[in-house]
Amino acid sequence: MMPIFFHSQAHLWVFYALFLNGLLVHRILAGMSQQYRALSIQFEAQVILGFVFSLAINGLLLLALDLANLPFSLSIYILAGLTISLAGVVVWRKLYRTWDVEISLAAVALYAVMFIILFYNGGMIDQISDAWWHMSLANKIGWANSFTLEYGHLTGAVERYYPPLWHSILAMLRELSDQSIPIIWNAFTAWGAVLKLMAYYLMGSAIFKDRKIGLLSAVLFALLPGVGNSYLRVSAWPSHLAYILWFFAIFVSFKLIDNSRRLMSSLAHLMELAGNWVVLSILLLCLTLIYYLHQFEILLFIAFFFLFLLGLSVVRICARFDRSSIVGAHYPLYIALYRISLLVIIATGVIIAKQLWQAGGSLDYNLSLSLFVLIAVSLLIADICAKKLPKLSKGLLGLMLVVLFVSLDYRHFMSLFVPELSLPSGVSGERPLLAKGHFGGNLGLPSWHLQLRAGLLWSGFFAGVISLAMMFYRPSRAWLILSINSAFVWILCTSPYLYQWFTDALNYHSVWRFAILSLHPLIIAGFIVFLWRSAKSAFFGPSPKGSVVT
Amino acid sequence: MQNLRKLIVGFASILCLLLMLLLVLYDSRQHFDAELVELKKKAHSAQKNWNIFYGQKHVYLGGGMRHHDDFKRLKSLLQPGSGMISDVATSYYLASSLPLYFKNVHRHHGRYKSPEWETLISHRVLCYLDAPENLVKFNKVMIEEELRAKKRGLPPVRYIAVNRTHYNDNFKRGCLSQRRRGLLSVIDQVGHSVYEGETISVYRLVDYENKQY
Repeated sequence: MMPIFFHSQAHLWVFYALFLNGLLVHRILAGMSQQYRALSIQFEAQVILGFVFSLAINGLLLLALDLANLPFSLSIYILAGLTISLAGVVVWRKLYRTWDVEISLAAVALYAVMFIILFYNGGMIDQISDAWWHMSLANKIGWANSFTLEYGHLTGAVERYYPPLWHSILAMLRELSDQSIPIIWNAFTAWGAVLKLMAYYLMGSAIFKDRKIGLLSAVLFALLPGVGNSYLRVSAWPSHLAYILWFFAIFVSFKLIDNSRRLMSSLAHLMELAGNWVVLSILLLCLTLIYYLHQFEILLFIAFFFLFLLGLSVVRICARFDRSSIVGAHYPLYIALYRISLLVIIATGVIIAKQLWQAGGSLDYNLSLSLFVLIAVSLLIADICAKKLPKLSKGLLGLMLVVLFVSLDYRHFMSLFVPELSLPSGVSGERPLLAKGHFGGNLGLPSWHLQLRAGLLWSGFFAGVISLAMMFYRPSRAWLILSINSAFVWILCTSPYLYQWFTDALNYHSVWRFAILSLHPLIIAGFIVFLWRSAKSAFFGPSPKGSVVT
Repeated sequence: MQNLRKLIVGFASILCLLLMLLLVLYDSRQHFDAELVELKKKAHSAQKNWNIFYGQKHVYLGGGMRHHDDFKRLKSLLQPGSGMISDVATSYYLASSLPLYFKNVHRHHGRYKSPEWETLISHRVLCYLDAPENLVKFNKVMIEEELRAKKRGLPPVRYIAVNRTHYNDNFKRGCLSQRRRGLLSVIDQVGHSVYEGETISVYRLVDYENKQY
């Protein structure tokens, strides 16, 4: 029989080292900056900002100790000194007297329930998995007192670089608390799970500009399986810490976008955005921390917003929808950013194609290298010609759609529903499946078992259909973002040409992780709230507040 | 007409709403399924999802936490920076606690394969060390490893850890769990005991640097 409460020391250390100093910094900043106060008005934002600042403080401290060749155990004196100083500032400036916060009791209830469940479920260290590889790295970092230890922690032989921030903090916590790393890992899982839910809530609220949808999306994030969703027992993995910051970075970005005024030129918009330097700094801090936690989520962040810009371009070319409901204040800036992004993609694609081109190699492989560049060039021409040569733009867009559909592997798509149709598997679990191109060449595709089948059947599948339907039926910025991100996931996971390109270009075996962009808990939450409001409005008429159906 | 349209929209919305709720219930059933916990355990499938029937007893049984008292004592007994061999689960538990390096054959983070160690650890040489030909193989790999370590500047393998636990599923999956006695019966021929803990025994291997094969 396990005790009711256990690992209390580890939990207290997690709170101290990963929240307290950050929360004090947050309190001081809230007393200084109006911009910051507006950003952090929600309870969830305050907790996550506390976590973000604590990660940054700890990372900087450990780097400094490493550079000065001092032991990590010294960090307690510096951290304690910092806590006293920050608390002193809070008391001196009487910042404790006011606490501007917006709390949803339903959200707090969700966090409490999930914390208790995860407290008893614990981290996934009961099975042999990569968690142990991470804990070994953390142990060696602590042993060597080195923030920059990167190689050979398990066998002593050179291994690939892994971003060290989370491992170093685990090592520091071990040094300070005398608790073993698995115990700290196990304890943090409950905190990490709740942070993920909070960040998802913020992101959902910001995308839909609707907190009810945000809250429901957090509930569904906990319930519906998928890439990263509901896998709350793995919340202490560095990738999952990076997810927290990725969701939060999207929230911060939308705060930045939605707080700006409508202006006429890109330059004026840039100046306007630069004026929000506090919010911009928080965004930059989040992205820097992601870089030192797991890196891949920076790509997810870029992909998410690039797809939004691509969606806007499609809307502009098709002239199908009322743009004002979708584009918001930054239209000229969006167009400029989109075209610059496409130029960068084309340049990168050409460099990669030059490096990986196989003279005498399979036609399919070389086609996979060219296809991405071809699509990017066509999209750029289509966007530039949208106003003056609309027919050419539409034609190019249609052609690209046909090319994409031709590039899909329909057997692989069907094997999602009928596993017997599955393609032959690669060398190991995470290696791509062996797909054949149209000309008989070997290409790769992700295996559905990699958390994909669980996520895409059925909620992920229906979410994709719903988001596209909603984009046509109720076009809005939120549905545009969600539908195009979801469509990208399906195309990437079923087109061997594109999947092969991403695998080679990124030199990364887990390209399937892009599937988290399907954001199906948020789509289903948005749809459920839409249905609820439609039904309510049909039977009882519009609400007295005149709430708009999303 | 307007009212009829409203009614149709209302009922269609409620119908879709019910379908969405069914979808959510169907896809989230795994969090509330007690049988699934046992099935996953039997199939050695990762329990990434939370489940209201899952508990810390599972984490304690598989997470190696019961060994921590042994690990604390071992810290002062072993030479830091040395290499050690053990079964996959135990070597992971030790790697997260001790300043040692492990010949771990689990595939993780794209690590390169090391066929010589897979032969030794995964392909049951260590489990059947009481067979004379396996003892010869073991000594041969150890001598070669000593040379290789010296040449590449890798940590030399100095220790072997034997887990005697009866409860850990991860450990029980390896052949060392069932064939532990066979290994222990010939362990004197490859090393001498440096630690005899509650569940973990550690032996210092013979000096392979000066051993000819």
